[in-house]
Amino acid sequence: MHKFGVIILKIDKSLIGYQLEPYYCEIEKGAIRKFADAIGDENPIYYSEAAAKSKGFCSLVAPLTFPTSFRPEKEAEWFTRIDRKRMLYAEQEFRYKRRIVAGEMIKCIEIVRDVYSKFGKNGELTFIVKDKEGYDEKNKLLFIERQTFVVKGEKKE
Amino acid sequence: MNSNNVFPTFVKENITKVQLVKYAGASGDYTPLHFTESFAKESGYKDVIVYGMLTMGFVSQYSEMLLEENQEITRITARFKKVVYPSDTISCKAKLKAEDDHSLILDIFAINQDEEIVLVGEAEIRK
Repeated sequence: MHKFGVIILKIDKSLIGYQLEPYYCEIEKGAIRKFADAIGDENPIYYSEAAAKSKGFCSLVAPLTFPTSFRPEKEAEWFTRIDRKRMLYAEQEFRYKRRIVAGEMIKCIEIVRDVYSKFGKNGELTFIVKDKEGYDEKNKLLFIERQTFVVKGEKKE
Repeated sequence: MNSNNVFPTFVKENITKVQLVKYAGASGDYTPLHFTESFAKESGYKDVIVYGMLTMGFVSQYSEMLLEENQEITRITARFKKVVYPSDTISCKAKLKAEDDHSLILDIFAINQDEEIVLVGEAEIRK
C-alpha cells in the first residue's frame, strides 16, 4: 500500500507506507571530498583516486554517512510541516551491501516504516521511522538508511 | 585491541561553528537549529547544537580506522543520547561485542569532555 503524492498533514499511523516518488542522485567526487572534509575525516579513499584504487575500489569511496546528503528535490509535505523546534533525531542506521563509489547514479526510495507514540513526563512524543533505500544502475539494493526521529507534542498548559 | 577487547580511543577536539556550516553545505541539512543561535534558543538550547549526523560521522570515521586488511563495515547504527554543542570535545570508543568466522560486532560510543555518553551504537564488520 504505497501512497504516492497523497498529501498527508496529520502525523499518525496513516503515514505508514507513505512513499516519495523515487529520485536520483549522482555521486560526485567533489561532493564526497566536501563531505569527508566537513567531518574532518582524512581517510585518503575519500580524496585520492589512487588510494581508493589501492583498496580495490574503482573511484573515490563515499563515507558511510554520505547517503544523508541524498535528498529529494521537494521534501514530502508532511515532513516540511513538522515544527523544527520540536523535532530531534533519535536513531540512525546504515546497512550496506557494498560501498558507494563516485560516478554512480543511485535511485533513492523513501518509505515511512513506522509511526508510534510514547507518553512521558513532558507529554506525548511521536516517533517516525523512515527508510531511504538506494539502488544502483542494475537496480540492485545498495544500502538502506533508517532514520528515527521524534516530534515533541505541544505543551499543554 | 587490548585484552579487555577495548580499542584505542580517538578524540575529535573542539568542534567549531564553522564546521557546522561546512556540514550544512555538505549534507544539505539546513535546519537552523545548527547555525542560527536565536532559533536554537527558542527551541530550548543554550546555543546552536551539533548535527547528530556529524557525531555519527566521527564514530564512522573511527570505526573505519579500526578495520584490518580486507575488512569492510556492513552496518553502522547510532542512538543519540545527549545534545552536543560547539567547542565540545568528543572521544570515540569501541569494544568488541561479538565475533564469529565471518563478522565482528563492535559497541561504539561517543563521549563528551564531561564523560557523558552522547551517542551509542554498533558497527558490524565483514571479515
